Amino acid sequence: MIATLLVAALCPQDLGQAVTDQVAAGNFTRALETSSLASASERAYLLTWTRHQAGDLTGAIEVAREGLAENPEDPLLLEQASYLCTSLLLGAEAEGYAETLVAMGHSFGADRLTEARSVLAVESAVAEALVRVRWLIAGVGAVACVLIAYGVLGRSPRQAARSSRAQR
Amino acid sequence: MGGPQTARLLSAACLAGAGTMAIELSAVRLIAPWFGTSQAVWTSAIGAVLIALSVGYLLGGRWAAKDQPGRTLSIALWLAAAWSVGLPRLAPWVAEGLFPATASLEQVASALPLASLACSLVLFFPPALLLATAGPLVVELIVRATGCSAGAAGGRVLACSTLGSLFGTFGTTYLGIPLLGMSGTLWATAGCISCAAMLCSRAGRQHVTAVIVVGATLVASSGGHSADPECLAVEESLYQRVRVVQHSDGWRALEVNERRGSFQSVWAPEPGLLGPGYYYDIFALPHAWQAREAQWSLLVLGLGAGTTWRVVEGTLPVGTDLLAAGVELDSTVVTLSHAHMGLPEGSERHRVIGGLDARAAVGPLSTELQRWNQIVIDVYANQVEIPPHLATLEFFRAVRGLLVNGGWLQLNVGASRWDDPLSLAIGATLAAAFGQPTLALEVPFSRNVILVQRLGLAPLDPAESAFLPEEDNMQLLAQRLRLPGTWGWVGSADGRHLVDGDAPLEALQRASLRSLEDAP
Repeated sequence: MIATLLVAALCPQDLGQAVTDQVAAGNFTRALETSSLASASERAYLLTWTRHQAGDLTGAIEVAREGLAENPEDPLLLEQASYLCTSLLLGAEAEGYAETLVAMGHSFGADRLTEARSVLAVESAVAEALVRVRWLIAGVGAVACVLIAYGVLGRSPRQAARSSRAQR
Repeated sequence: MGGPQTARLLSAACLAGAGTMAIELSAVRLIAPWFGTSQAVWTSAIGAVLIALSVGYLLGGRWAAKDQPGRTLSIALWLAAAWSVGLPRLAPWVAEGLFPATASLEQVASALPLASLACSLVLFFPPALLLATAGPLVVELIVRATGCSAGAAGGRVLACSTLGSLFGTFGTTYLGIPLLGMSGTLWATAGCISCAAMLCSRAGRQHVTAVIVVGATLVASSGGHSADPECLAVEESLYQRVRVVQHSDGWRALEVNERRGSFQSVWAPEPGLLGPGYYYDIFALPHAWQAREAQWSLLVLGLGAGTTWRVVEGTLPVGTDLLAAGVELDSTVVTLSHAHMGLPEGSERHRVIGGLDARAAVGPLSTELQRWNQIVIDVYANQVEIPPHLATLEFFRAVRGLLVNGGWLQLNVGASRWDDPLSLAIGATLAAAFGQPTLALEVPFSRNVILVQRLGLAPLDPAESAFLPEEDNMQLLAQRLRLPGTWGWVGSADGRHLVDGDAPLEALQRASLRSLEDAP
């Protein structure tokens, strides 16, 4: 830890390499400690990346969101966040980050946008299916009501209304 | 009041009753590949059939007043038979038309109740309605034929119909599905209903026409199934549809019911750790955390295809033997796993207890002398639901009694955060059973949490260096697990205690899903 602090104080550009090495060695907790010593602009990316590499996807996206709240146009963080949201099936959020990347002219934004939109396509297919499903249940319910009316009254509700009008 | 005509009509009522129950019981199994067999799906299927029965009784009553109730009944039953024959072909078409097959379980979880209800209504409302008309129509026919009172005729028809339902219930579960499979059971059901149709009215041209229609539907329904080249075996068990699938990388998966990217067990060509994303690897840690022993005893409740055995056996140090036992409720899973998933045949070192519920197995196991170094609870019904009776204080106390002093208990929970409502409730219940806090570990790259307890000693603290085993690959796994924020201690007071009389697992699972959706 003391060595890492020294690296942070003397040559901050080497912090990223130190984090990479620690992650490669499987020392994720140490990598998080090292990441937190980085400058504000790098810290969120390194923390996100370390958590992602360790398999903590939900923790990683939380850190990325905090980082993007402070620095909404950090391309590396946007790319990470879009990738994580796609993995977590958060299509709309992933698309938002990817669109920002594309608008900023970053080449890797297009791939992220495609991935995000494939998740969104499934989400919207599920939403459309739900609408179909609700209509279908309502339709069968209506048919059942008509059949019940026919069974109880011996005629359909329309016939019953017509005959009651005729009686009046 | 007797006579051959009455006997024929009562037989028809009996067969119609059997057909109704066969369709109702087959309903969930038929739509299981898309919607699973959770309680919500059962509710949808039973609800759809009950609505249909109610409407059918009324319609039957109306039609009974017409001139030729026998002919009407015969037509209704023939139509029901034709529908039943077509159900196996109709089900995929309706289910995939209603809901995208590419969506994952997480994406469709909250929509499953409505979707399964719509699918059940389309598939099962028509035949159940037509079959329900049989009751009132047969009563009318008997009254007209014998002049007996409606009450007397109704009593006999209800008795015969209910008796038929009884045969339909047991026959479907214990004979139809195991021997004939899903499609065969529905075709046999259609045969029964066709017999009922023929018994209700005199032989005539309409029967010949109907036989041709039902036969043509059968031919259309049975042909054209494409074989899945990845599927090594598929069986209908008492509980679920089970498939063994071979992947291109040589791995195999045992899948049940709804596929949607989920699996029950996996088999890798080499025993040992499976790699990131597989919660089974965490079951290999307890023996690495302890001093080396000559024998490591492992009991798995919810054995599946024996993935846990294979992972633990492949990671034991040289000189340590595995003594393993496993309890698996579904004996078809065991049979398929012996054949395709490398599950060892029963022996002194590998004991498979198939066809027994984990709760029922704990009693007999406690009467044996064997106590276990490690017990893994990996019990799931319908892929995503922990059965309530296997997550209670009473059950955990019984399981605790099977451990050696210092022995480990690990329990797999489908939850993405260690502190979500489901993990907290089960963790707190475990803490109450063991008298100390439960360690909750999020599984990296996965939506699982492993709860850890130990008899007489506290589980290892992830913050301490003892949590990291010496072996490199195990150390990497432990390093991932000890990441701050991904683990925690759950005390007895941190969640509601689940007990036999009050274990609302489904509500907790819904709350767990909601907590994911509500995340910012």
